[in-house]
Amino acid sequence: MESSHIAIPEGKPKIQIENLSLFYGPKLVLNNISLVIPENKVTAIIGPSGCGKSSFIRILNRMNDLIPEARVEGQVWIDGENIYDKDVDLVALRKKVGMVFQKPNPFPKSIFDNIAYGLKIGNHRGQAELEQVVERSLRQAALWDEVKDRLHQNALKLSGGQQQRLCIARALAVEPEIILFDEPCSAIDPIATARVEELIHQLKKDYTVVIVTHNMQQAARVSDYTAFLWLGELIEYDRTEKIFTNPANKMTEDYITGRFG
Amino acid sequence: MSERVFDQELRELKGEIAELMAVIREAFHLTAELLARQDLSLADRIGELEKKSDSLETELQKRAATLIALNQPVARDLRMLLVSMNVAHELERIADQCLNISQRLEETRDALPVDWPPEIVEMVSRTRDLLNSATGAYLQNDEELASQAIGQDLFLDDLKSAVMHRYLDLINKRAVDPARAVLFILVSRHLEKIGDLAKNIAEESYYLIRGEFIKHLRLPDIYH
Repeated sequence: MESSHIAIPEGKPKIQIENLSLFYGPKLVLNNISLVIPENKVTAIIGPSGCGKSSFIRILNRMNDLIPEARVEGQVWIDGENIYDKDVDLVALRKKVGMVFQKPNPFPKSIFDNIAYGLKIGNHRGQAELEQVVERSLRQAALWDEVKDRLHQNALKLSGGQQQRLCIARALAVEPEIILFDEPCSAIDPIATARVEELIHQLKKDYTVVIVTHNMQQAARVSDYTAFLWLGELIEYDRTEKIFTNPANKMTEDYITGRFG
Repeated sequence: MSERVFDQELRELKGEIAELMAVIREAFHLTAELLARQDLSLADRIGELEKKSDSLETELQKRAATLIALNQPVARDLRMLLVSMNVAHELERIADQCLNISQRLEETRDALPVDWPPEIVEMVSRTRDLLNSATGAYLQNDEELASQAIGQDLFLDDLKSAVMHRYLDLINKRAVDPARAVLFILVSRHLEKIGDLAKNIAEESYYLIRGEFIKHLRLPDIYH
């Protein structure tokens, strides 16, 4: 295999990953990965199925802790704090690092309650403040105009694309600093996809975004930096425009031009 | 590694460029013959080839635009399409310059035959070499040929300047037939322009192969 090509991004680092390996039982899923994810940028993770993309972003809010056999080696620093230290507050970490999943997964509750839920369990707030946060989050997720007159309708009545934006609004409501998107558009139609992509562009003003996607054009459209993973190895990491015009590694080139994967 | 339908389409596009290059090489060959033999009957064929290059270029641009729209290419595939579009345009402009030379000779037919200054004779030979290097660089993905072509262009600039300065000076001194002097200056200008366009093809080919823009760089920066 050719040597990997890992660029150091410009700008302030938000997440620093050093010599990270992930095992599921005896199986090595991610092998000795080091990279820096910059603040207020969109970083895309691409690679063929099973390359470790989703496992990788689940490292960043310790979602892999929920898998009994998972074992992490190496270090992951967010704002200078190693999130794999023993005394890390997991609730605070997951509040800081929000996540949006592949399939929209609203709670079977009203639109309003879907967003207010995280706030209600976090700490007790008054109704006026809840309403404020719900509106702000829905506006940020570009959904407010479509739902403002039916906030108490069941969220499951929304279209797939609206449900996904609701899930984004729900993630935003707890004021995270980083948002992880795990193939957020794979279950929604192209128009809804375009909306979510526009939204991701908007979000990077205030948040650091990491997105896993199967869709290479999507990575090219929305991200500032792209990481290409293959069989748990980080093959190339660079500015997206570099990756998609003149990648350094032949495997990256073959993958993004559709010659394998 | 599996062959994609798109690979076949890109090969066909490259085949069309090769066809256009063959037309341009023939046009240049006839232009060189026209200069050497001063046989104006060759001008008609040069005109036909220029028209053919126009229609081939138009077809090529349409096909490349369609391939971009339908395949959303990236990396080398994208460079291949962008470069092919630019190369097609430069080739078509070389045919225009060949036509210009034949028109200059027709306009001054009363002054023919002329003894070409040695610089122009050398320019014809160097332009042919440069054109061969530049088209070879694209067709064979050969960055050495591309660099070679870029270097060859410098000589043409110098030769054209030499012709221009000498004949302007002779016109001032009234030591030459002005019609003949203007013919020499214009022909050297057209040949230099062909060299320039061929150099652009070499630079495009370098971008295709290496993914690096070398336009407007100095030679030492390219050879680093």
